[in-house]
Amino acid sequence: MAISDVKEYTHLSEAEVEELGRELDAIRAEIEASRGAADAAYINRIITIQRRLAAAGRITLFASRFPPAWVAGTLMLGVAKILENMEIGHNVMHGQWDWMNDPEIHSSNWEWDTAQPAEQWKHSHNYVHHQFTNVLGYDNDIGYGILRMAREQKWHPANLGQPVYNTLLALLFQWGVALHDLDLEAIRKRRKDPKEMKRQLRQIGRKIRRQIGKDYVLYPLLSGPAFLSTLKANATANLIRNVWSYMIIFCGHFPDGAMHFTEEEIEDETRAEWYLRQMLGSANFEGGPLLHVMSGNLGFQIEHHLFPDLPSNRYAEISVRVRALCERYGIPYTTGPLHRQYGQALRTIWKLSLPNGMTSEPDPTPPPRRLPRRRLTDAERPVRRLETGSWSRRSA
Amino acid sequence: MTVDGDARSTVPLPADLADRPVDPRRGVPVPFVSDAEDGTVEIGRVVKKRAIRCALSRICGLCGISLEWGVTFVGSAEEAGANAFHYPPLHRGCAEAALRLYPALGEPVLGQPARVDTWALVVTGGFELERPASRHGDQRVAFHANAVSEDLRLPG
Repeated sequence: MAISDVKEYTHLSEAEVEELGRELDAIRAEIEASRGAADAAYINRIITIQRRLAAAGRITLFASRFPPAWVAGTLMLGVAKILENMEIGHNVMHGQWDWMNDPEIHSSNWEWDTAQPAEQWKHSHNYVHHQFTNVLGYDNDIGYGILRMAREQKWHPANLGQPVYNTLLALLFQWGVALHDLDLEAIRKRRKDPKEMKRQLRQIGRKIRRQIGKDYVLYPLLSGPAFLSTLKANATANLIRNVWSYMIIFCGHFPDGAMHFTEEEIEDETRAEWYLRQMLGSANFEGGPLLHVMSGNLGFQIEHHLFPDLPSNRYAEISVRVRALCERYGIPYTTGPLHRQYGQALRTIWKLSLPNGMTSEPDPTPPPRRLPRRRLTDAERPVRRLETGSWSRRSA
Repeated sequence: MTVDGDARSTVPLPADLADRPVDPRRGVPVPFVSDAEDGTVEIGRVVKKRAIRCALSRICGLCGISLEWGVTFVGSAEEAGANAFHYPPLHRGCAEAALRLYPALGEPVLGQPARVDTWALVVTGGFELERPASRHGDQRVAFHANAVSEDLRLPG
């Protein structure tokens, strides 16, 4: 089966798919042409706010033996970490602000406030997740290697523990993400290049030492007699950030309506079909401007996956046009309130902890077929692509 | 650091490029983007999956290591004129070494279909990745620089 057979858009002719692709290209071109001072001012303002919040939080925690100061400092630091990871770090590392040519706010130089080294994030997230979005066996974000998130994934008795693993993943999210690019399954199956694994482990080790040194040694020591309460506050701020970023990320691809794909479905994919896969595999959530900033504008996950390197502050305006295109072309546009989207993701985690035979299968009604569509013949298909390849960085 | 053998040993290479596997016939490092992962080596080709990986992971198409600020593209003068490069982003040091090393082989290199008389070296803050729009025709990905700070022409 090719992606052109996915029932959610088999009602579209090839010409309609190409036209949709052209319309999305036009949106991209307009945003690129209009990027400028207002966008630069936005990201600089967010960075200033984030740094002031972090500084205020750290300073307040010098008095963390007093409960009101502990609460205020912890909340400020937690919010600062969320802003840094979600709206700044994630988006800067996508190259959303590279056009400013600012050496500090640049995908190659930004190192974020979490345990995973930026270089490994740019591989596991920017490449593996964004190139192979929701493709089973390729996209390691589908359940982060420990959760069964699609009915097509084989059930194992260990999946019965999913509700517990999910809770642990939420609480320890930054540590789970830190190990994400190691690809534990590849290590288990002895497919991982040992040289590359050692290089990555050294990198992770350095980053973990830096994170622990900062949050659990340096700032607590600077607090003097408030050492222990500052340490607890920093741990709580990290916990707040972990749970929030976990929830936002799980709302991006696991609510009802976000589809999974197979390897065969991405072979001979055109740019327009790539756009379609991103739209069908992603889910938005609704909310006000503050919620969107605090979630790195990933409430516009569909728009982020269509244009991962366009500035995040433009996703809101893009979403209006993308939604209109979806309505015009009869393509699902999955969205809903945050609590509902997360509730659906949570339900999937619980449901898929059981074998398929014990649970019901969702059966969404596809849009009506408007035009006949045919499969390509073998002669028309180009050579199959396998874009993940092996893990060896240097081998020829 | 230099590569072993003949005149090419005089070209200093950045450490990560020198650390790449060497093409035994030509005595030069195999660019990361030319590695098809199937054991075949064509020193001048751009493997599409690797080019996309370079663009999204922000790694150098020559050495395979994370890019630095001052992202560099090399290509023909025509590509530079159209702001549509087909060789992935590079470190500046890797790009400069590559322009001294590979054209001297006397064969099409750095993603070019033929030998190039005048090379372009463009330094930019960022770039856009363009995927092929159709299954027919040119299947290469293209890179469009969006914050050019230097645009040089060098003899082939």
